[in-house]
Amino acid sequence: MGFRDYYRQFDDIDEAKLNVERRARRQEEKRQALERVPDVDLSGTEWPDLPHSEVVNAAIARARGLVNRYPDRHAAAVRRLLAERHDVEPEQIALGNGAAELLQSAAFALLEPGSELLTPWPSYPLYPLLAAHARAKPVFAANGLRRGAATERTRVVVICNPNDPTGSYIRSEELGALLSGMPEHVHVLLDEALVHFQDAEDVDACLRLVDAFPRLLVVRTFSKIYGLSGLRAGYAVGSDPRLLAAVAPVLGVNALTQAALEHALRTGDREIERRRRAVSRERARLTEGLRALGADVADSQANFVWVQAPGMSGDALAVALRRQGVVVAPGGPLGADDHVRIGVLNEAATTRVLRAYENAVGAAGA
Amino acid sequence: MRYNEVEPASERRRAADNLLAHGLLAIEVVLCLSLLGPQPLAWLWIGSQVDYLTGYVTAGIATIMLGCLASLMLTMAAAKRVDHAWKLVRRAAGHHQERGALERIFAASVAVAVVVFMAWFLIVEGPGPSLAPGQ
Repeated sequence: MGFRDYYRQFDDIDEAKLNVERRARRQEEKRQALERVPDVDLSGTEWPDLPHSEVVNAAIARARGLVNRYPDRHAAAVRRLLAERHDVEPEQIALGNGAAELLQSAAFALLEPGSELLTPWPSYPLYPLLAAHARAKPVFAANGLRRGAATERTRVVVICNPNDPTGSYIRSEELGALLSGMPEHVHVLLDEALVHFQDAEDVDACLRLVDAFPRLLVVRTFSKIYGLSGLRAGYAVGSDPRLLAAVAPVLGVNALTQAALEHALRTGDREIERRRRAVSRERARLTEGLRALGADVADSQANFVWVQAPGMSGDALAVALRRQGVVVAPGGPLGADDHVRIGVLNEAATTRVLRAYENAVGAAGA
Repeated sequence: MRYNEVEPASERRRAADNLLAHGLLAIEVVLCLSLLGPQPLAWLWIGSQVDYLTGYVTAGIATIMLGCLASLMLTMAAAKRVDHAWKLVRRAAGHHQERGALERIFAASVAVAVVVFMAWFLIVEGPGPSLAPGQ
């Protein structure tokens, strides 16, 4: 090697050659990024999309106003809108910081130490805790509520309708018959957090029973179809003024939440209807698809389906689906080890669930 | 890395390359410094000779300006080649040398030239005679 050739081997690499390498590397990075599909989380029951920007703006606008003053503790504007919507008197409505708080307040007001809270099972895991916090005893009706299920010690019956996690729905006639058979010392708390997702009957069909049954308190939330979980807002409808006074927060709900709810109630109906139709459509598709793949799927009127894969535990199915990027809620903590709860999201998510379920069951059977 | 990795040479060869790199750097310094003193002075002398021989002041000034410009370009072209050679020799000596040193040397040369000129102008020559000719 000559004198100059020796030093030329230390020369800069040609820019064009470097660019070719850079382009190839970038192409590879792009290809890998496109192959990487993020997990789809179907384990929750709250609405997955962001709330409408106008609803958020309403809360922000209120925050820029007189927040040094206390809010209207009676939330008159929101209650009036709700009353018009449900065709009841505003006095029949109590606005609270989430449906769970209203249910807990009702449990404190109605249960005494040693008394019993009866609930169908599996159902929302909060209900046994309501009883425990009130030093009462939770009693589970494993085969659903029947006439005569309430005993002398029963003070409260909690019904989740549509039920979380099974998605089953009790129609208003059936519920009316059940309420007619309840003893005088029993109050019924009807949790309608998911009622907007049912398409079996009018959305207020069960709520209208409050006029005929004073010991019925219907609780709803803005956390599900309204997509406002972070605001912690819910309301109770009943016809017992003392019970309504007992469940309402002492100093009401904060001003920002009231502003957002007011706006959502005034302008959100079209979006709520769109969400309801979308869930209904995808729920039917998911149910049929899973059944065609051999799954045992309960009829659901909620924004999820309750699924059992023959020969697989709920945990095993949840893990198998998780490996394929689909996150579901295992049934154990919800009351049934052999089930999983799969949220209904959109068309793409349904397709992914069906493909993942097929692969999971196929892998388990292989 | 903007250059190829090469099998390291012997210790002796690398030491020689290190010495050669220092020499090339010295040449770069000399070239840059020459731009800021010796070369303009040389062209001033040549311009004055042109003026004397032709009897035209304009010819002298034109010679100085064009000469300075031409020698600046030639010197910088040469310095750039030396700088490139310095970079290769540094790499051959085992240093991780991504860039050349010409920009830094030129900036340092300007700073040195400014300091030297100011010292000559203010201290050696002094502004006194021109500012207060009567004293």
